[in-house]
Amino acid sequence: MAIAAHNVTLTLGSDKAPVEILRGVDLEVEAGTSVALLGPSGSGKSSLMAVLAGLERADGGSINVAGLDFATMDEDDLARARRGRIGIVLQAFHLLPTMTALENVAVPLELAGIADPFGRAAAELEAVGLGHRLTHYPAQLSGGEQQRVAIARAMASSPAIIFADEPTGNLDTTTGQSIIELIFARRAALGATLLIITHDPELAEHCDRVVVMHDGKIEERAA
Amino acid sequence: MLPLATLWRIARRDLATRIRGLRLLAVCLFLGVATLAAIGSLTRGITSELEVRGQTILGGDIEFSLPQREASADEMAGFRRVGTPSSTVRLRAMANDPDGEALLSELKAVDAAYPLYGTMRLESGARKGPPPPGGIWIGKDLVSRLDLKVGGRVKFGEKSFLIHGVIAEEPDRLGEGFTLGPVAIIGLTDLPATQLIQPGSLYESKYRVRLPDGANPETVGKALTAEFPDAGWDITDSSNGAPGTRRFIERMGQFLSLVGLAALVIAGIGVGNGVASYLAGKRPGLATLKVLGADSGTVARIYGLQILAVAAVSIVAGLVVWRLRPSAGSRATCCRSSRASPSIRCRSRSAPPMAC
Repeated sequence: MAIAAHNVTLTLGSDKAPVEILRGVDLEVEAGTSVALLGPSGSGKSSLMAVLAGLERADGGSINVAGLDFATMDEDDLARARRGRIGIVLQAFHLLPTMTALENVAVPLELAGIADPFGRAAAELEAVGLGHRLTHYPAQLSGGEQQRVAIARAMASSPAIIFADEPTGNLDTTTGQSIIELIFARRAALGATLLIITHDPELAEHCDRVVVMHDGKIEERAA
Repeated sequence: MLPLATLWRIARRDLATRIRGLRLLAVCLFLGVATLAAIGSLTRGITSELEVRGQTILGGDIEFSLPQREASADEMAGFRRVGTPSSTVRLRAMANDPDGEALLSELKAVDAAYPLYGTMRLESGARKGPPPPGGIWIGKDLVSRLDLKVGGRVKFGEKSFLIHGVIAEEPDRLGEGFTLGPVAIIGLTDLPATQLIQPGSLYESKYRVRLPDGANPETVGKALTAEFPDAGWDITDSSNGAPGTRRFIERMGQFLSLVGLAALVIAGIGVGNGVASYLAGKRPGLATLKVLGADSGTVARIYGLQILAVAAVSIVAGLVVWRLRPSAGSRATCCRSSRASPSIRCRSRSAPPMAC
């Protein structure tokens, strides 16, 4: 099992005005499968992904990701646990603006202590079709190209699990389609588990499973 | 923990395009280090020059200073026994021009051995010993303020002197310390005629002694003090020829260093704000690094390395300026000295003797 989460709860806000974001979420994802997480805005999709990716700590429940017990780890342990195991693609790209495309992709490889980070980063950028943009800074790239760099960055360390939070949200339809194809192609090449958050039912059709969230709970699991 | 080389690689890449954010840190450290180093080296340069030129500044290897009396015959015999003495008497007196105008001056009477070290230089050339009997050498200020000239006359006490020259360089000027007016030099034999030395007069007799090679001034001073325990003299040796000047320079250096450090501390507040603002601007990148697997320690080390690198470069740049300044400063100081005394070659601890 790549992801096994049981009775996960997350409450944000102050003590006087708590906001229950996740209310006893149960989710299991088989290794090597792809899962689409659908749901309306505010349903807790992104928060669930943040908890599963170790970006946020849950208030309760058990979380096992890539064989590690995330529920018992602190923030720094979670950061170290992500190295080489988890790749994350976000809607707003979040590239480091002071570094070139090549350097951006090399950073997680360096942090994970992987040998020849720049060689691997260059190969990954080549694989996403940006072999000619290695020395370009994010500001010199289009939105689609920036998202390709972000995908390359997430995939470069060959992670076991990939989380993608609305990866086409900031892109036009045509570019978005090519990005989706790229994500699924690279996932297939790596044999990684994919959990993708989307509002797009067409995108969800690409996945092995579709999970629908509503009001902090998983309400529907569709094949 | 990640290897330092990996952390530095990431820090350097991130810093290369955003060094502007740390400009304030760099400028403050550069200026602070350069200023403090320059103050320190200038102070050291001057004090070491005082040491190197100690004999000339003092006018001998050792000086016995007697307030309001001259040395006795026995004491003079003692000075002669240990080396070659030179006697001077110094007092404050009014210089009067023929028109009756007066100016407070430092009158100095010297003997035939003066100066034991260095060169007494008039505008017309070098001189050894005192002016001719009845003659006087006067300082430039005395010339300008009393409108005197060579060949004219000036009166001290009851004696009128013929002006034989204008002083260009008095070799032991620095060692004489604080003065209230321009100097005038007469022969020691002419001093009684001025009738300025009276009971209760404020004057000081100085006996400088040139010692044989290898003699230790401190040992000589102790031996003569033991021989004349009631002499009441002050002893200065050439290792500290101008104690007042040296004290002033050292204290001025300490004061300026303190001012520099205080300025650096005040600037530190601005530097702190600058660094905080720099890190605030880096927050999105910092969050991205954490998403990519950097723990808190790694992030702190990456940005700490950036700040350390900028600080180190600024400090090195400040030290480079410090290395350049002493030679320029020494040369300037040296050339000023040598203009008056070309025979003096300049030396410093860090550089070979240089001709000016």
